[in-house]
Amino acid sequence: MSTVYSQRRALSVGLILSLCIVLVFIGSLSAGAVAISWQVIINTLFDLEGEQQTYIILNSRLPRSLLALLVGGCLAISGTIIQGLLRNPLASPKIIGINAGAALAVCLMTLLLPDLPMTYLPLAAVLGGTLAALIVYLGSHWRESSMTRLVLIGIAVGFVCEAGIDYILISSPPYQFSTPLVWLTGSLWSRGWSHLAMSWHLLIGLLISALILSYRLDLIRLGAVHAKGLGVNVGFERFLLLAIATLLASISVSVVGVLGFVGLMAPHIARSLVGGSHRTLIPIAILVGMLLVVLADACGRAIAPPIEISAGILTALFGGPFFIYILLKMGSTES
Amino acid sequence: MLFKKVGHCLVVGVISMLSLPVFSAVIEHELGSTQVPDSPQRIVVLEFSFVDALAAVNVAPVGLADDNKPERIVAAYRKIIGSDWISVGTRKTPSLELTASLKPDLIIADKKRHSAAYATLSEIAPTIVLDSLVGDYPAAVKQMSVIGNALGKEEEMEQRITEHKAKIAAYAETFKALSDGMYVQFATARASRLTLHSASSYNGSLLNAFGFSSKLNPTDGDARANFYVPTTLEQLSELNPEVLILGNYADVTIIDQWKNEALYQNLSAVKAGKVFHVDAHSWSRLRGMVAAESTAEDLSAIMKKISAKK
Repeated sequence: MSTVYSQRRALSVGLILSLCIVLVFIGSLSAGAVAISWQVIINTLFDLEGEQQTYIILNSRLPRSLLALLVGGCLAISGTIIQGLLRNPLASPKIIGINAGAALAVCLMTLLLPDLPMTYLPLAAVLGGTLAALIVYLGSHWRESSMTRLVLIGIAVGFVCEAGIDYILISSPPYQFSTPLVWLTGSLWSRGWSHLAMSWHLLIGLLISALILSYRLDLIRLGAVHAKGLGVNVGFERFLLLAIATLLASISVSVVGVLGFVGLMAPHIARSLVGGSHRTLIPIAILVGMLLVVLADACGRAIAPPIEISAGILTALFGGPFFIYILLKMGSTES
Repeated sequence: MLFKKVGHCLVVGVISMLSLPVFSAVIEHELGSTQVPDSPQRIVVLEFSFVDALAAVNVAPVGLADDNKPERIVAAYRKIIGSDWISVGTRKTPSLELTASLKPDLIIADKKRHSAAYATLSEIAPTIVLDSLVGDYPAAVKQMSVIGNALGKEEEMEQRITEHKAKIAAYAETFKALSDGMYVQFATARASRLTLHSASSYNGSLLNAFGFSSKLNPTDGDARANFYVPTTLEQLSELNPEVLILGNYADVTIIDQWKNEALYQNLSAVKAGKVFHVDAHSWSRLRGMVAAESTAEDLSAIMKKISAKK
């Protein structure tokens, strides 16, 4: 059994995480290839007299950091819902084929329609991710619904898509895949207000629906029979939550690329902080996801300017060992 | 009195018209058309072929994407543009904020790499997008005219193009005496792959402009897939070029594995000692008139070696 944490603990963890997010967000505004003093940042943000850096602060770093917050939160809640529904700690948006499906669609688009502008890339990604998830979901409901089968089909679909991606990348000249390759590593390079404008209504809407519905997860987690007894239409609610989680992850991936590890890692980190009850787990996981992606993007810009290191590379590189540490620590408190 | 006032206004008007940046030229490019300043002074370029175009008319960019490896801007370019440029990072993901901080008045970006960032780049400065990575040598020269217009140096660029064509034709004439229509094949060699540049690729068509022939012609309409052809030893021996020019991207390449195989030793180029090495970066990554002229110098050296053998 996981440790039972009090609501007060959840509140204080939430406050500390929020404070960290605010600090990292402010830090993110000062991180980048061009060194800008705090005075100039404040002048620009509040339109005060004196030197300003309008483009870099307001059109580049601010929308990028906001997008990182949004996408981080969405990937985290998507991962938490999927782990809750599948009752499987290994689950994440990746397991239902979203990442690989989106990536294959992007590669196919580049290969088959080379003259299509790269602005269509997000559309291809959403379609690919959703289609792959749909195949996995239908497969898991063939004849009788089975969550174990869902995971296995998800892995199989992932392998098929990844084989397709590898084939396309190996057999094509590298320059043709310049943009998709950056996207495959999960990067916020060149993202700005237009990307935020394109996605925020949808993502915030889905995020709120997910928050409202997610308290049912604790009931669904009791198991189909118990949940039915408590008046939950398990099949329908499971489908609805899975659909929302799929869309949240597909849209996020379409905007910033394959930021795979966040959806797996954020729920676990949150669980180690406040325990497994979804009422507290979900908000904390969202905060963790936000923090991870903003931090990764800021570090990616600050480590070796003017070279930008993709946020997806950093979340995996530094998130991985930290994730193992969390799991080991959890194991020791549980035993 | 009235005349004096009108005259005064006219003078002020003319002066202010002269001092304002005049947005006159509209440049048609891959992603539409962009109004560029009359003669841009602060230019940022995000691919090597654009550096070549600027160098052709003696313009130094303020910033360029050199992959953070300044040596990728070769001596032929440095001789003209100096080495005072600011690196904006990699060609794949150039730093947009560094680009903005240079306060450019023209950005030249590549279609394959930077289309997704076109809107963002356009917020920084007037941006034109050209296809730098696909297309043959004549297309690359044609692109020079577009860049010449964007720089407000149409005449200078056209003059340079005429000079360039004459230079290439002169080289072709000297090569003709030595080796008329000889099959010369350029390839890049990596640790596990040899890639032949076909007749429709940039290098293939450039070799063609020098009067050499190629047996590696594209077989179908979509030439893109046929530009750079990964090749096995069997395929190479079937093509059997008379001269093989190699650009090595690794210290130990696939050619080292093939060296002792009979099939490789039986290649005409190998038997006649006509396998030559050139700088892979200059031949394969760079394109444009300055690059083509240094390719011509390399070829000239190779031809001298060949004629010494005769």
